[in-house]
Amino acid sequence: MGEPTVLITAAQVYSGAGVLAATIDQVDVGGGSQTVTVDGVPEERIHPASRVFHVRLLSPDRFIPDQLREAASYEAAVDLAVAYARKLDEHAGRVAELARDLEV
Amino acid sequence: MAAPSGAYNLIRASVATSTAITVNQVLVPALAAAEFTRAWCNQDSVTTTNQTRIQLNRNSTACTVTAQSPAALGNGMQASKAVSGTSASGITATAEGTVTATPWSEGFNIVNGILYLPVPEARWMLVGSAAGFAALKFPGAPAAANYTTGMEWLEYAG
Repeated sequence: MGEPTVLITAAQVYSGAGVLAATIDQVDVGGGSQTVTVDGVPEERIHPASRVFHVRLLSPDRFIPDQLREAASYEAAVDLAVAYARKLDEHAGRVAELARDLEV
Repeated sequence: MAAPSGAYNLIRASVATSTAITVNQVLVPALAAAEFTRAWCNQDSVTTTNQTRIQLNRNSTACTVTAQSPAALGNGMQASKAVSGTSASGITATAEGTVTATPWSEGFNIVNGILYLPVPEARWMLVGSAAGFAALKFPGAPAAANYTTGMEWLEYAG
């Protein structure tokens, strides 16, 4: 008997400003059945199963949809989410600068 | 009763279909819940009578689909949380997901089509999760025709 293992299946990524930027979820794909007719005889076919990580990049504007990206591994999903969180921080900085410039 | 954040639909319009597949899939994520108000299936290419069956499924795994974004029913509504993706919201499955429940299943004549329009008390409410898949499926191969299928729902999201 081996050691217990921990499998990470979900995470939340926050921007430097503490705003929820992205969520990560492991999602199972396929594995269902389809009835096909072969030579007039119904046949049940099981489709292959796989796993992906959904990286939901949360839109800062509720009228613009979130972006959903797929990643093959948890590490790749985290890299993508962290890159997005950094971009959100950069963007927030630019917006703050613009607001300061507009002050009269 | 909580106020919905919007009403949306996902329509697969006039697509030639003759196999037993999931035609529409909606992923309701953990950030939301969906109350399904309508679903429909009809066709526009044949006048020959034929019986078939359609069903609404709750799936625990994703079908592989062609990504398609839900459409808002009004201009002032926020974007749907049921965003598109090949393992999220979309149409025309090429790989089937695992069905865990079937809230609605009904036979119909393809000349007439069919409409799922439950009374409010009987609407299917799907609380979102990473595996919150709602799917409209032909459980058996339908007669070849250009089918239009759709799902419409009220969304509850922050």
